[in-house]
Amino acid sequence: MSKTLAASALGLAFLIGACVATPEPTVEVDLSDVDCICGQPLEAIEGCPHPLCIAGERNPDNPDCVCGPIEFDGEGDR
Amino acid sequence: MSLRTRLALITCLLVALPLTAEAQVTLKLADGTALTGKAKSYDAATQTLEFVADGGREMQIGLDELDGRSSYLVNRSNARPDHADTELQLGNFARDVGLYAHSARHYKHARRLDPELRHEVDRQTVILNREAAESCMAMAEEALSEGDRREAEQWLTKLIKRWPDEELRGRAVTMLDTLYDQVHGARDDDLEAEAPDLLATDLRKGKQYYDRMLEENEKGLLAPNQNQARSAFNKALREGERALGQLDRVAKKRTDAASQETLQGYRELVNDQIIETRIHYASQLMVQSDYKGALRQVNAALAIDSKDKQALAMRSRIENAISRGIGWW
Repeated sequence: MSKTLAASALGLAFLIGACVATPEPTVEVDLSDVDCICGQPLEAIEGCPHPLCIAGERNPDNPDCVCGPIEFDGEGDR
Repeated sequence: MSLRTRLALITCLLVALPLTAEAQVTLKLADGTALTGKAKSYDAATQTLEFVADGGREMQIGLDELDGRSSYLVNRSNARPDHADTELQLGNFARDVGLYAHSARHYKHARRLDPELRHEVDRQTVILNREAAESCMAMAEEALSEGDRREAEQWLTKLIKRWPDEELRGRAVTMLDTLYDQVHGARDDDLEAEAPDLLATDLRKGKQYYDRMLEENEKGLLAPNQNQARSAFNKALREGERALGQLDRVAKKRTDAASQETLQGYRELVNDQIIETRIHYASQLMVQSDYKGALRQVNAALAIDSKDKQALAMRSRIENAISRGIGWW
């Protein structure tokens, strides 16, 4: 009987906790507002937070960006 | 290993890319000259880049004629994808030209692609950490020599946070301890001068909360371990909330225009410091890979100012780490 009571109390506590727990607050933001810092001293230490750069792509809007490969317009040699 | 040897090693691992669409690129020579145009091809044997500059001028540029960033860019563009040894060599090359975050990323990839490389990656990472920490210290000292204490504080904070085991940490802590009061203590000087009677009376308690917030924030930055840092940042945030609460109470009492302006100034000051503390806290949590904790802090900062650039940058890093498992360090 005491085990059943303990289990019920635990279950009830869980249920109450789930009901009163507030969801994590989120803030709608537009990550395209994130600056590309390629070429600035901070980039060397922290890496660029721009979504393209973090993904390993080169940002075409920043000529200093080296986060992704360039493409070659011609036949290359081995 | 010299740069030239490293270049040679990478050359051995290079493959040519197939024909692709045209793409404009800007490269820089070692003397700082910028060249914009299209890269045609790269000859691994001679380490020569065929380049067509804007205006149609065809050029052949030796890899060692390019500056560090550009030579890194050409190297990585020709590198064999998903090859562990290549990633390791690119990591070494990026480190040697001062692209420390890029280096860390390549090392991570190398380790993932071939776990057996971990000992070599660890060995190279030790060098990376030391050189990156030295670079942070150099940036801090340069900022100080130019009288930019705020900038110096930022570099020292990064050094202490990311490389707590490096020898430089002790020196960075001492420097930051000295700088901190100079940077933060002076921020409300104008407001103090504006309304000394308000500060001596109704706002006295609020100012005390604000000052305690600054003290706890500093303790968080200088904390010798993660638990003490978390505890201090949490205390700083509590003091910040108390300060805001006190400001609201005084605002209801002192309704004249001059007082309201002073109170609004302090409100902005406190909110700016809360944002700053939350970003420091988030950075701390990121280093510990507590991404959800970091996200919580950044979202709270963005709830105050949704356009704060540092908070947005942090949010981008965290979201990529959580959802795609990608990042820099």
